[in-house]
Amino acid sequence: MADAAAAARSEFDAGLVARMAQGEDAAVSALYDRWAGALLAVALRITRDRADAEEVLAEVFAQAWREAPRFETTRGSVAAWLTTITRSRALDLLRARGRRKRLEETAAIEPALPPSYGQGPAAPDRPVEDRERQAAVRGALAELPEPQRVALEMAYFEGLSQSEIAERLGQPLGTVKTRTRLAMEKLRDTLRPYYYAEPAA
Amino acid sequence: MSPHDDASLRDLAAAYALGGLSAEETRAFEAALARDPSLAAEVASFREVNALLAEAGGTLPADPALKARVMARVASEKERQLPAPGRTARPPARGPLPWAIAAAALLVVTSALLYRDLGRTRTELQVTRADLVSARDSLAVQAQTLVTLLGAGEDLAVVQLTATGAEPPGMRLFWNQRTGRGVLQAYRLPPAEAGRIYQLWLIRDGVPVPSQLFNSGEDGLALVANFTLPTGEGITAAAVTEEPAGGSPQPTTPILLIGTLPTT
Repeated sequence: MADAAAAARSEFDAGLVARMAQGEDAAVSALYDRWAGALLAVALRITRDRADAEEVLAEVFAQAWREAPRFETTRGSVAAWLTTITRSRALDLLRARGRRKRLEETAAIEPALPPSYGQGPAAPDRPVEDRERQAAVRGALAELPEPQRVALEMAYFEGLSQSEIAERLGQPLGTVKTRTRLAMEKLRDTLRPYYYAEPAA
Repeated sequence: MSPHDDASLRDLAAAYALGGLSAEETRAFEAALARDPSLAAEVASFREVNALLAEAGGTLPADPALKARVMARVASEKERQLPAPGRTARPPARGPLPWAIAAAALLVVTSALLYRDLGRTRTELQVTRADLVSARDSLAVQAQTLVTLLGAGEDLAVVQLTATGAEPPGMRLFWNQRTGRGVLQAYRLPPAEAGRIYQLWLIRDGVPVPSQLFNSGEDGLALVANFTLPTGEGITAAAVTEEPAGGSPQPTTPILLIGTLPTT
């Protein structure tokens, strides 16, 4: 179960979405201040292009605006909702751009990205519970068996499909699927105390 | 039925939450999702993991110009979606004209600037009731300015000024050609050097006519509402240069931003 501080923040986020559904610009503004930085990093890791990532971010908030009236807290947190939209729009854009070409490109954008897991200190300007959560996620990732962690990071950060990962690693597709599933299940079990909200069963 | 039964589809929930399934698998999974609420809960729990990974993955500075752009996109969404009979201070509906959307976007940019001035509503707890009320009042004033502009009807020209470069500055000029009033809004424009200022020029028959002086803030945004512009014929473009404070009768530096008037 999420702890009290996280629950309060999650409730605050949900309140912002409710106000956004009422048409309040201030709620969009506050939601942007709270989440844009993390969502932009997610989009940039997948699109590897700053202009594309910014376009994705604009699309994300437009879609969130449209869908806010249908947002239900019982189905998960605002963080998960926004992250899902961001990843979907980034992957859509990648497909539109022709992801095959992108797979062959080098990682030229890397210096613009925040430090990867296990590198660099946790962001010092975040509240304590955020830093604890960040440390917990990094710790949980570090504890994954290497092959699982690699498959997960390719899927999550690079937005590669399971078959693209199989191709990249030269491993059978079934193996990649199993590794991804085991990695996500382990993260879920380890990190459940840090969830922004507990989805209803 | 697909080659998958529901039990093996359950094994794909993590990959689905990551968006990593093939189109065919995605279709099969979503069909199962619709008939199995416990599968939806499974996906939801993996999406919480995604959210944790997102924040733990670090953040990038999402600068004010980008925020203005995002807010503008939301505003155009609003324009398209909501007839909003209960909402006040909306410009009269004139159909999905590009300038109407741009004007609504400007309203939101204005509100972003007002917000900044109203005391840095950066953190969630600072979004107070009082701020909202003041912002709403100020917005009403700004909205009247916009309505004046929108009242121009077909006499309103919107000029998009652009520059080159990786993350180039940009500017929009809204010009009521009947009354000779305008609003300009620039973004990603670094403040002019000390002792310098930006100057707007209108190009008439190839000759730059001096116009409004302005500067941008540290956030790269500039907004000048309701300034005077010429009403005459023969103006084909607008441009911006950096000039000594006080402005110049002729441009003394290369053109920084330029845009042509829409032809009528």
